[in-house]
Amino acid sequence: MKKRTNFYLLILVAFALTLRLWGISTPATFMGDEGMLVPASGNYIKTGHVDPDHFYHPPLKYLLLQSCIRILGSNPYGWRMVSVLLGTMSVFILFLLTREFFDEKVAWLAATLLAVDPTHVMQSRVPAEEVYIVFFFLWGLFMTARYIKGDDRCLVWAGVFLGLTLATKLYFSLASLMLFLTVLFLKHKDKKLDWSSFLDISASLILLPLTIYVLSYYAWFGRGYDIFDFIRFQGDSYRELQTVTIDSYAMGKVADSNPTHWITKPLFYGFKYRTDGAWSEYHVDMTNFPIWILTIPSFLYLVLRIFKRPDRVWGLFAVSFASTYIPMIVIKRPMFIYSSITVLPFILVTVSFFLVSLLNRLACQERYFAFLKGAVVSWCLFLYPLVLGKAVPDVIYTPLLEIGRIYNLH
Amino acid sequence: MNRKTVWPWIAVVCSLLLVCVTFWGVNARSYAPRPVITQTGEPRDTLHAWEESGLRGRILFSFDRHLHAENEGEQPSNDNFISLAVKKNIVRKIFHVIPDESWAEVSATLSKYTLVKRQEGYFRTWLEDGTPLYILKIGDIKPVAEKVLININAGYWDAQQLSAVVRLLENHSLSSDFITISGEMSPNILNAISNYEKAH
Repeated sequence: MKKRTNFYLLILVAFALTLRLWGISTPATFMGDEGMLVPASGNYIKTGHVDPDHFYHPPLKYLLLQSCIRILGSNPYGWRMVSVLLGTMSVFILFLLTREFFDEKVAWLAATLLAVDPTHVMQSRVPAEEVYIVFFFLWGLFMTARYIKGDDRCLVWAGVFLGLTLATKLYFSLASLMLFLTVLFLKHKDKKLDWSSFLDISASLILLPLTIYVLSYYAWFGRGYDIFDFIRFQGDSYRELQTVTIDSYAMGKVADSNPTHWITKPLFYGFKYRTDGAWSEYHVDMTNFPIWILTIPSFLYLVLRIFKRPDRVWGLFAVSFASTYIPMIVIKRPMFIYSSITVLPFILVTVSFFLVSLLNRLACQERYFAFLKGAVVSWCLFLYPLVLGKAVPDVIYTPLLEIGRIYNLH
Repeated sequence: MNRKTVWPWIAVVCSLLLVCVTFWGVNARSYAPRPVITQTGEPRDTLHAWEESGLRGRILFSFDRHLHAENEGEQPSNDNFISLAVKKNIVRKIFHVIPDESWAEVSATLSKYTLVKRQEGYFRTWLEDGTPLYILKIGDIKPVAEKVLININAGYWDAQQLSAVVRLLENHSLSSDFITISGEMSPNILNAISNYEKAH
């Protein structure tokens, strides 16, 4: 049974890799933020400066990107393979995590949904720090859940992965803090929180991540700075970040920047940039709306289940989801669809749990489950040409794209 | 159950790593082996003088009306040479000292910007790449523990204010290993600064 699971998981991961790797060498020139991130990563290693990028984001992404460029060369593979690999491996870790939190059936559905999700596939084909942090945070969460379930060795690993998350981008900073507090709370509830375990948890989930965060700035320190300069620099970065508005983005006028829309309506926006009248090429940002639209009922169902049958790791999961998504809604900074992949795994797991729970009430549930997975994969493969930017027949795709805002650049 | 305690190891390893990264930063600074005073024709020539001396990771006190930190151009000009010095990692922190007679105007302009913070008589902000920038008058200079680079654009300073700069050096509020002067300076002041160089 275990061998069969491993085999199918390998097939799913290989499928996810294929979707992310297909045609990755084109365009052979910089695409999107690559024109900023690739030179910035080289600059960071050489000088500690991150121009032409902004200084206020943590710098681990430059180290990852530059490591890949050193191995594969400064070409499309070097620029994009970190995202391809971490995006693909996120499918694997989401399976492990969901199996740990829920059960194998939910894990299969959630991992399949992530493998084919158009937003995640699209972001995994460019150097996007959102893809990197999702991978790191899922590992951190998985290790934390293992620790809660009694595997003490996982605590330090949880800290390492949370540190890598923090050093890449700050989306999960509140979620990491909430994880720490939740772990303390659960240990206290189990009457296992003595001074020694309190210090272990604090050192592993606070001190260790912060140290990794500071170390990722090693090239910045190489400009002559010390730890006191670093503390001030962090304050300055935070204040600079507060000035980012919708006008700071080239796509600001076109794109939807409200994160509540991700789960309440279908989102398609972008450009039609080539057409022969019958077939057109698009650059489209989109959500997988048939799935995302189920988020609210699914989350309510999860909360209801937690109240009916309290489960410690479900609590951990719900806290991580809420503390990642709510700040995005509350803060004034615009949030575009690419940021949605930071909450995507939580949404996919919650929706999968909801759907599997519904199917479990039906007769012939296996058949329905297979049908559901087939439908999801087929739908996402239908969207895949839009992810690749390949020409699609207007007669089929136009009705769908007209739901959103597509600007004709042709 | 026997549980291994990990916090002492994490505390020791993390502390060591944080100390190491701070040392790495402090060791990246390089100073002139003995105090140097250089007179340059144009402000932009200052960059060349700093580069030739192999200075790195330094605090700059720029006594000038203008900052010369425009983030444009690869070739040094009077508009961008400080920005280039930051990019080349010669300068890591800037104290821009404004002549007293221009302070009211500068202060009024800076007060309009939300990212410029007023603290104890001086303004604090940062360049486009995050390099800290303090804007202040001579009278608001506080003692600095490490040796700094001093750059004086003499055209903007009268003898009285330049004497105040000399006093800062003499009473060790500021200690410098590299002083650059552009423009004409009165021989008396130049002698006083030279005496500082000889004494150190």
